[in-house]
Amino acid sequence: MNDERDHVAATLERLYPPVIGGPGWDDVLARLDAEDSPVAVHRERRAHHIPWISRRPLLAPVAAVVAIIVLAAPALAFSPKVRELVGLKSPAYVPHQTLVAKVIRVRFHTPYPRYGPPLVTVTFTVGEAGKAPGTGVPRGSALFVAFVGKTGTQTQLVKAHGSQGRYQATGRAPVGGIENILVGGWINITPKQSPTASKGFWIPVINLYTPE
Amino acid sequence: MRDEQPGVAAIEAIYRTKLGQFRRVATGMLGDPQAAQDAVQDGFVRAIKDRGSFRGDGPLEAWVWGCVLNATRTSARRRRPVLDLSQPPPQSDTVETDPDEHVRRLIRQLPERQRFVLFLRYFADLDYGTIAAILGVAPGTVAAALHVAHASVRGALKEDD
Repeated sequence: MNDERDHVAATLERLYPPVIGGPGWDDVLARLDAEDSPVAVHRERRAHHIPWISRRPLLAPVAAVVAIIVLAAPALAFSPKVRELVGLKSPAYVPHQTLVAKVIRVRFHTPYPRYGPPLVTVTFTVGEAGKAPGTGVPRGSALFVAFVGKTGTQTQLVKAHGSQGRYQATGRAPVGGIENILVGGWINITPKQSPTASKGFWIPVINLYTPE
Repeated sequence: MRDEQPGVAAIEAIYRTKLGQFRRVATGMLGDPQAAQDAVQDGFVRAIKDRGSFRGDGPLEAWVWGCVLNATRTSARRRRPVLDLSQPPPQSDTVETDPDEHVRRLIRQLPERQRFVLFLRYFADLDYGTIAAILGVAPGTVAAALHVAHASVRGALKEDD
C-alpha cells in the first residue's frame, strides 16, 4: 500500500515539477495598491452603483432611438434585403473570387450554459489572398457569420462588426457543437461605393479544417 | 506601514515559506504555471484585504489556503476554452504517445474536490484535518476523496504499464 502511495507521489512529482522564479511579495503589495487606488475604487463604485441623476441625460436620446425603431420596423420588414439579413429568406450567395477570410479566434462566452447552446464570438479577417486584411473590402460592405453544426444544420447569419478587414461576430452555437464556420458578406461592387448597390458572397475561409 | 497591521506579517510569512507549495497546487489545478502564479498572487491579495473576516477558529494557513483555492477556482472559471478549428478533430482511436500526458489528462478529468485533496496532500503535505478545514468538509470526506483519487491515478499508471 505504501509502495503504491510512493509510486503515486513520485508520479505527481514528475508530472508537476516545482515552479521556480516568478513575482514575489512586492507584486502582491503592488496588486493590493492597484486595487485600493482611487481610480480602481471609483471604477468599482460606478460598477455597483450608478446614481439616477447620471442616467437622466441619456433618457431623451434612448427614447428617440426606440421611437425610430418602432416606426421603421414595419417598413423594414417588407424589404427583401432585410428579410434576407434576418434569415427569413435564403440569400443567393456565390463564392467570392478574390477575397478570403481567416478565422483568428473562436471564444465561448459560457462553456456550459444552463440553458441552450453557448454564445460564441468569432474574430476573423477578410482581405484579398496574400494581402493585408481589409484590401479589396470597400466601404459600405457588411459581413456575416454562420455556424454549421455537427449534424449539418446551419444557424442564421449574425452580423459582424469591425473595420479595416478585422471583424467580430457573436452568435449562438448550433446544438451539438460547431463543425464549421461560414463567412459571408454584402460586398460593395460599384465604383462609387454606394451602400445600396452591393452583392452577396460567401467568402472562402482559408484556415479551417474541412472534412473530406 | 502596512506591516504594522495585524495579520499582514503573518500572511507574508506564510507566503515566504510556502510559496512553492501554493504555486504547485495551483499549477496542478489550472495546468498552466503562468495562470497559477497569477491566481496565487490574487489569492494573497484577497487574504490581506479580507483578513478581518478570519475568525481564528482554525490555523491561519488553512484560511489563506482557502483564499488561494478560491482565486484558483475564479481563474479556472475565467479561462474559457478556445476552439481551434484549424486542426483536425481528435479521433477516438488516436493513441497518445506521451504516457505522462495520458496520466495528466486523467487527473484533469477528476472532480475538483478530488484534485484539490490530491494536490494538497502531496504538494502541500497537509494532514486530513487541515485539508478538511480548507475545503469545509469532514475529514472522512477528505479520506474518501483521496482514496478515489488514488485509485484513479493508480489505474492510469497501470494502463501505461
